[in-house]
Amino acid sequence: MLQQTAEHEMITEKLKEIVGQEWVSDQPEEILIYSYDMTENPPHAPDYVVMPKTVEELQQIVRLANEFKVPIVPFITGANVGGLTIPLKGGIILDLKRMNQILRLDESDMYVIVEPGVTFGHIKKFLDNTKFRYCYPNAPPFASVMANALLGGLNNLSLKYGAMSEIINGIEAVLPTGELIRIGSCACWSDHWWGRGPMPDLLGLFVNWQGMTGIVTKMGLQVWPRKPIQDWKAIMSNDFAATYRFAKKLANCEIMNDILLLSEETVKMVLGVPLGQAVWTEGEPRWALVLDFDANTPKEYEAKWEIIRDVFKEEIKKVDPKAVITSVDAIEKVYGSKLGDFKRLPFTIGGMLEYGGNTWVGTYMTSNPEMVAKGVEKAFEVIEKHNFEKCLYTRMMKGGHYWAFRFLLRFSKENPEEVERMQNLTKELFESLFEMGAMPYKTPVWASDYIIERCDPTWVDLMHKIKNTLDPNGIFNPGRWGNE
Amino acid sequence: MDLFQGPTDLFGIAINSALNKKIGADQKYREFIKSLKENVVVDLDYYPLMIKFGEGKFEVSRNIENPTVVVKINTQDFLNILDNKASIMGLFLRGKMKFKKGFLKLLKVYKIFSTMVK
Repeated sequence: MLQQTAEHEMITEKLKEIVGQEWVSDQPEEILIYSYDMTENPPHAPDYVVMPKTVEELQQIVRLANEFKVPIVPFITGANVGGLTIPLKGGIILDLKRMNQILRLDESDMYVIVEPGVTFGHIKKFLDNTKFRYCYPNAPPFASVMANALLGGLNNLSLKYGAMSEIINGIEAVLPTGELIRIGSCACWSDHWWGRGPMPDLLGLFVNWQGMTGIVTKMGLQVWPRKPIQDWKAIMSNDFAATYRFAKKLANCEIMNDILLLSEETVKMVLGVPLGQAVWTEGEPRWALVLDFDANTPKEYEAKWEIIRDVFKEEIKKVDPKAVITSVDAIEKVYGSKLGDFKRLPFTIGGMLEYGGNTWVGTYMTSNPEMVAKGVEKAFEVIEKHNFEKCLYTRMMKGGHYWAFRFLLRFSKENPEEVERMQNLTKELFESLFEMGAMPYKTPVWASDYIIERCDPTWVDLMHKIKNTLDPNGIFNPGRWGNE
Repeated sequence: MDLFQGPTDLFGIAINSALNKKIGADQKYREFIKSLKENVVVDLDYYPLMIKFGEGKFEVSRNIENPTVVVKINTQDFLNILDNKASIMGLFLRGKMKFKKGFLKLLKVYKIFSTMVK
């Protein structure tokens, strides 16, 4: 609730002095849009929205917030699907969209340096004019590259490189007390952002902390040469165990960019089947795989394609004779661009945002086939109980070292009963999967509270010690991971 | 109001979508489809689908009623047609596309599917 106190007015004026009048607001109609996101997480309004342009402005805002002990929540587009930018304790929303420069591409060491407001759309456009490429989640083009890296999101090259946090070369960040720090090789040489080692790696103080320990103002991220040939294949099958075995075996071949395993319901959602109607019916194929690979030469391409076909025959076709493999181009000819969009990242997954509500239970877990199969079975049972669509969207990570296991859950936010049902579903789904060793990424508050109660208390103590040391006034995104 | 109308099964969506796309882009094809009065069943190995043509419209459904043409083809071959890796005539001649009913309407079936995704 907005409180028009003298202190509030004074802080508003000071913020305006720092960034300029047009970049500060405490007006209800403007702060409203920062009070909620697309998820089922309850809304809470900030008191101010501020849009700094420079690091110096940002530091001044942080010092001011310390003086008056006002919470600060960093925000770029709020598309994190975990309710992570909802200001649980009010305070300042620090909207970083104006800090949107791609500062440099280092062609030799293959990295870019970006500011927080750089989106996947920006970086795609920028790199398309070079010989390099970046990696993309199935997220809207307006989502922030830096936020996704800091939150350990997955992407279309996760099979090769793991979560997006694993490709960070270094950062510059403002601490909760206002100091500007650097981590990685850029801490020694301001022009060299080639890596984080061999110094003690302090990046972990900021990754997955959801803005509780610092606000990152610059980030060095790896990019890679784009290969001349890229192709996508699709598989439809009925047998989960065989389909998963295929994915695992192909991952171990180390020839793929991406292996995406979807339930039929997800495919239908992408195709535009309305909310509540994306259900599998008897006789239809149950699972779909989207395979992304590339090559330097036609010969290399043919060799990879032959391996894919061989593994398909051996692992899927033998037990599931109806299973089919085809090109995504062929699929696109029939279904139109919606499924073909998997080739044109970044894009928003079709059918997800039309109903106002969109959330997920997104986890990383063991890639052990038995555990994964049990996870799918249990999750489907829970989703069915709560009467939602079983939109499974999974990916093999880092050569098969682990598995991204998540559900894309759409719902109508206009209907309070449906929102409550979704809250119940996400809780039960998460708790069931946690018991099987699945850890949620972009962790919402209700899930982190559950984890804290069950994990090693020494880890919790250490986390709180670090948080209290870096943020003695507790102003950076309070209320997350048990930090008040 | 939902923007999506039509079948919600995977192969029904495919046929519905491809036919609509072609009809929207090709006037000759549109006139041809308008002239049809057939209940064409495409018997894929996953499940059969019926395309009901008549009164200038078509409807794709899993409800099979009074078929006038029944074509059997496996899904992989159907996808290979779309991928330009197989032709309807080639599959027919090799016995991989079979008419269980309405053989005399071969040319109509050929015209419906061979140009549908071109």
